[in-house]
Amino acid sequence: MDIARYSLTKSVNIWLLAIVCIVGGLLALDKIGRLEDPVFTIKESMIMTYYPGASAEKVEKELTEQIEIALQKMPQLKRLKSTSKPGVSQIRVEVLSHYNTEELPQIWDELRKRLSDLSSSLPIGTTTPAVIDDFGDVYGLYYALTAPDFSPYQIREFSRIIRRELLTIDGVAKVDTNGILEEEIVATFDTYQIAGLGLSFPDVTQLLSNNLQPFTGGRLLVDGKQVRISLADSSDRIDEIGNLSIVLPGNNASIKLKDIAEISIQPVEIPQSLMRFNGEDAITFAVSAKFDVNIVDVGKKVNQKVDELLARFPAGIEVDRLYDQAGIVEEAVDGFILNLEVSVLVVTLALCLFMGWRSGVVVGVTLLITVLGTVLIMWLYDLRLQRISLGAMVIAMGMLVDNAIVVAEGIMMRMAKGKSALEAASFIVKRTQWPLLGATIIGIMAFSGIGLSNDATGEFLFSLFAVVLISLMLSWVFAVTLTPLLGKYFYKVGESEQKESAPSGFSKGYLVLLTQALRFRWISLAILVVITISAYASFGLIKQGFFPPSNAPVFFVNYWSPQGRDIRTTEANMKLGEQIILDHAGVSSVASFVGRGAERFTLLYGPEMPNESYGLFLVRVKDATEIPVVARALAEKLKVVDTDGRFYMKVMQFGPSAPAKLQARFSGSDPEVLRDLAQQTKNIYFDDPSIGNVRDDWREKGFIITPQYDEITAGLAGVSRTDFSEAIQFATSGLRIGQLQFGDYLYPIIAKSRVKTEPDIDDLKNSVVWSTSQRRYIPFQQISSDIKYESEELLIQRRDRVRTITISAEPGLNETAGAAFSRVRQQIEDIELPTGYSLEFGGEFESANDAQKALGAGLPLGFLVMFLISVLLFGRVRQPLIIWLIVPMAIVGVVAGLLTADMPFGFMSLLGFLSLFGMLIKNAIVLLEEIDLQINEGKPPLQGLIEASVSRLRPVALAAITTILGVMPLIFDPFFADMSVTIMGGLAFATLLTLIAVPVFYSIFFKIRYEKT
Amino acid sequence: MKQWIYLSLLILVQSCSEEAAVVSETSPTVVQTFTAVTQQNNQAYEFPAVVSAVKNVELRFEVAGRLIATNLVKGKKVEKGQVLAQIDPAPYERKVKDREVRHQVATNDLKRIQALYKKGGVSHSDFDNAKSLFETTLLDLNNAKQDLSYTKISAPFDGFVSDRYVENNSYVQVGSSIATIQDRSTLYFSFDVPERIMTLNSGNKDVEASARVIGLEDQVYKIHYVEHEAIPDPITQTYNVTFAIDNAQETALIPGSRAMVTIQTNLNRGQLIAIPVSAVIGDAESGFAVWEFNNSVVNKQAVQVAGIVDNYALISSGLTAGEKVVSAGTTYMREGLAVREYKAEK
Repeated sequence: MDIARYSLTKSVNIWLLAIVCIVGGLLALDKIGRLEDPVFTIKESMIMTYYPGASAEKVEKELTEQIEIALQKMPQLKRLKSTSKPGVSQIRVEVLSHYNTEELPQIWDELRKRLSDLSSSLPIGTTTPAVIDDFGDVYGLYYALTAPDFSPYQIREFSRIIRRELLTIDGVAKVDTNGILEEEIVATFDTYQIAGLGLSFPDVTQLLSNNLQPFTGGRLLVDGKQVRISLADSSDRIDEIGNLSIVLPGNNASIKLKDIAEISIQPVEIPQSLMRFNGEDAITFAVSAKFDVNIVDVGKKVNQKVDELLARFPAGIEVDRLYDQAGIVEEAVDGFILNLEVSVLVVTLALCLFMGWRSGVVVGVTLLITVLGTVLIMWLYDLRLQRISLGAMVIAMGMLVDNAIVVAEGIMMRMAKGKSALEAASFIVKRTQWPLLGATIIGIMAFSGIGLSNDATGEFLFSLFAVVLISLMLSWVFAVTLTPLLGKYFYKVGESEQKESAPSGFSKGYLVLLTQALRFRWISLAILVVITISAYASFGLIKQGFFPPSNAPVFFVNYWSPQGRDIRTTEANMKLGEQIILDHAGVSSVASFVGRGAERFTLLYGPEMPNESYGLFLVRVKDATEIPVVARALAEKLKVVDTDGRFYMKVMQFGPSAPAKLQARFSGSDPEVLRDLAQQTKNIYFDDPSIGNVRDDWREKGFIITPQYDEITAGLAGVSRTDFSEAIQFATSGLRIGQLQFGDYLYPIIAKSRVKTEPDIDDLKNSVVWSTSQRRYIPFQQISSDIKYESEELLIQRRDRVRTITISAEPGLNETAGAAFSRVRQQIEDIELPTGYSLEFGGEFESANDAQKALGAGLPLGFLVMFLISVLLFGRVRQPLIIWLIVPMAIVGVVAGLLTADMPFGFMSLLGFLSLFGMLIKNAIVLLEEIDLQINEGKPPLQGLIEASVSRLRPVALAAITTILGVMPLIFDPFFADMSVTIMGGLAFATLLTLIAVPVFYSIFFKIRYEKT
Repeated sequence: MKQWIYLSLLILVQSCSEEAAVVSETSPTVVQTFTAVTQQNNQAYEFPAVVSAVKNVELRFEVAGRLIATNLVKGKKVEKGQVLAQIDPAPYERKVKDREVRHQVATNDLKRIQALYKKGGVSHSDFDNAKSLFETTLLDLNNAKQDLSYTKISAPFDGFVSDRYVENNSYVQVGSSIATIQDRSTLYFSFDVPERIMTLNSGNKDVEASARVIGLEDQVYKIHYVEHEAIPDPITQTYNVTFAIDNAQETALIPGSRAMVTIQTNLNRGQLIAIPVSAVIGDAESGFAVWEFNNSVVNKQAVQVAGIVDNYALISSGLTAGEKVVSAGTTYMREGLAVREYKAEK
């Protein structure tokens, strides 16, 4: 198979291919989807079931457990995590990570089916379990609307219009609004007054439901036409409520509702959640784009639409962008494309410098077409331009030129020796195509761990493997086809007896080094071994990490107050905190979320479950580098806001979001034992000098007041439990007696007892209970014997059906989670566990472990393929053995690089390390092939060895230099920084290794003795 | 921030002396404390009561006739003796006249017969007849006079016209009530007391009671015990209890209005300890605990909560007055934690 001959003779075909790549690539570059992070489905859904009035324990036992048992049978299940709270059961269902996005809807359907089968056997009073399967959706565009001078009703109207209009935009999939101030109609009654009138709540409820439901009219036949008879709606039905009259039982007098009750529209007393932006109440809009659209375009359209709408609304309404993925993506992708261009340019320039402008142009053009071709294929295969795929391109950049360099240089040398272009090309391509292909596949296989990993991290990084695969394969194709073709035009045929160009100082130096190394080959070997071993030994000095922090100028302040806190108190404290943050220098805006977290506006942020005692500040600073300073200052300042609560700072971290960096989980049955274990663990964390933000997820127990229901007296008085419960509701938080539909909004109508200030326990004690059967009011204390004060669990967490308490903590600001974890691990493991209890570590340790395990599962196969190819290439044993002996030495450069740059060895460095293997093996193969060829061509072994090494010096060094230069721009990207350092440091050393160690090993293995010539 | 400076200092110090670090590691946490106080466990009850007048007198005519004048404006204050209604007196005046004439005739007859009898001119029986006729006619006359006086109704006591049942010029039958007059000098507050409270306080008369009228909550009146029913209501099983207020004229109390009666029993049921609710944390077995401040360390102490008043929890056992508890940041306390008491700056 003579590919080069084919491409030179049928050059039109190659040109066609090149043009397709260029034109298609440019077209694709414009059209290809852009995203901030790779599409990554959070394979989780949430099941929410309400069980009003039940305690957390009752919810757990009667509801959560039932649902968990029903779901347990699903084979797709990876994990079940449940939280039972008073009145609510939340279950998070995680599906095994190897199910892909397309399969998920089916799994959720099955889940729903199982739940609906179950629903008949759930306790009475529970709602139907609701499956929230878009729980993991990422909203890229996040806005806050503030309109301080408008009424809640008006703001609701504005937000309704904005939402409706945004949904009409092409490419917008979903718009979620939040923070709309809920309103209710409150009717305050004086209990004694209505008691005197002999009226009861059932009477009022009946009255409201009779008058507020939608009414149907009738129709008449008039002269063959149908005429509808309508019942005119009252213009303002809130007024109408007050005018409803109720007939007093026992006589024919009637009284208007407004005469016995004060009726008003009020914001709900206990809101679910509240949003604020820069100190004003706000409504947030979270917009998510459809799956296959360009987020940048959608973002532009949405922003434009918002501006249009604002022009239509009265002045005083502001819409601010909390998070604009479109902008970030545009900036990031533009920056990356710039990086890419810089890389292409740098590599081309480097080639021109080292190989002369002709080779520079030949390889540069090949590189450009390869890159464009890669973009084209990515577009065709629906891969997006995002952080990972762009990074992959830059990583691949250095390796892309390797094939072309080898071919181009060979042709140039050959042609310089007077051979025709066709002959030179044919010779070189035939000679190198298989080694190059093998080396390329080995390079690709080094990344296969990621491609084959079915962990979350694997999915996150899949495009890295895909891009490497596409671009490297393309680079080989073009190296054997296009490069010879270009070489034909650019290289000149030299005279037959070309004067041997004087060896450069560089290669002279190398020659000296090599000969010395070969001369003292055992000493060289010893040195290499010692260096390698010491590198392994000092590996422990490198900081361990997982994913690095993000560079967005945003950080989070989580506020946790005791679990029993009322949302109104949380709100008051959040307002105080908000002011402190806003007054702080360097802060440009603050969004506050009370009672719940923000929407999942980026993949890097995992929202907190609704909790009244929780608040979140999303702080935007003017300069991302100031975050540590600002965060530390704020942590100190915010302490004064609430002595019972804590403010925790958190920076965004790349990779799928994780709840906490340090976690320990205890599982078992008795809450008291679990709490005790948790306390012991907490004490260990507390005693550590730098670990902070220690907390557990069962949180504080809450107060519970139980008015005892006296069956006997209640029976005598004809009071039912319903009467009793309604009386309690009425005397405390309010009793829902009806609802009013007004426009698209449903107002609940709440009856409340008229008291001076906040209702308290005495108001309850002194209230009266309506006896439905006797139609009389009975004193509350007649029905209730006593009021019991108790504490109860408010949050019961279960993990895979076992009660589990999780103790979370964060490492100090300037240490990695790994360092902190290693200090406390042993102590926590030493805690004595009662039988039936178990301990597991979570946090970064677990996710890093899982990721590495998943990667590890894919690695052996990848390495096997790499090994097989290396054996196949040579068809012998000793050469592959040399290669695989060299591979472990790659660590030297990595350790040196990371230690010098003071960077942690994280997941990305691990990837870099793997790709380094590929590059190292590739270089080694190229060199070994040449040595074998030279020796087979009849040169004396030693001479062949040295000459081959010297002749490979340029391509190998060039390939290394280009790769190093290629990844250099990535140093400034926080996500890729450690990877780029790993590759740069590792490759620099690996190149040396290849050039020295391979010949040394070769001479040892093939018993080539050094003799002075 | 401070901690970090502290820590970096620590590292510097550590290089000089190893012990220094150990000492400063246990720098105590500053906590806010609260000294437990005693609280009398006096039960206070509140009941909705109906205000009623002590005396309600219905006015009725004992004679029939047509009303010619009434002075019965509902709600009007009347004084004792004030004429409130009058029936046309003419028939009764005529009747008096008639009876007077008959009596005069009888008197004259008696005088004449008596003179004759003394002279022995008439029999003893004739004298007796004349004498009884005289007495009968006198009786008739007095009856007629009384009837005449009954044509006017005057107020029996100082009070208020609470209701009127007939209008002027209407014909009134004997015995039909025409109006009700209330005596408001004393007002009753009656309310239903649950049997539980009744039993608990049986025999206890040492109570302080006050009443507020709905709509005028700021005005508090002192009231006193009057009586209570001995048989409970068959349905509600509650006992009707009456309290009263004297000299109620000057007050805004109106019989029939609704009032809130607050009764404070002075029966001492032992002392409770009051501490802020924020100091109480949930503990094992649905119980509660506090972090007791014991000279620079905190210890967990189980307590029993008997009630909550305002923002204070009433502790029935586990704590004595004068002991200090941590009142803020309780979540971050742990057994034996070294603490220092927070003293507010002056």
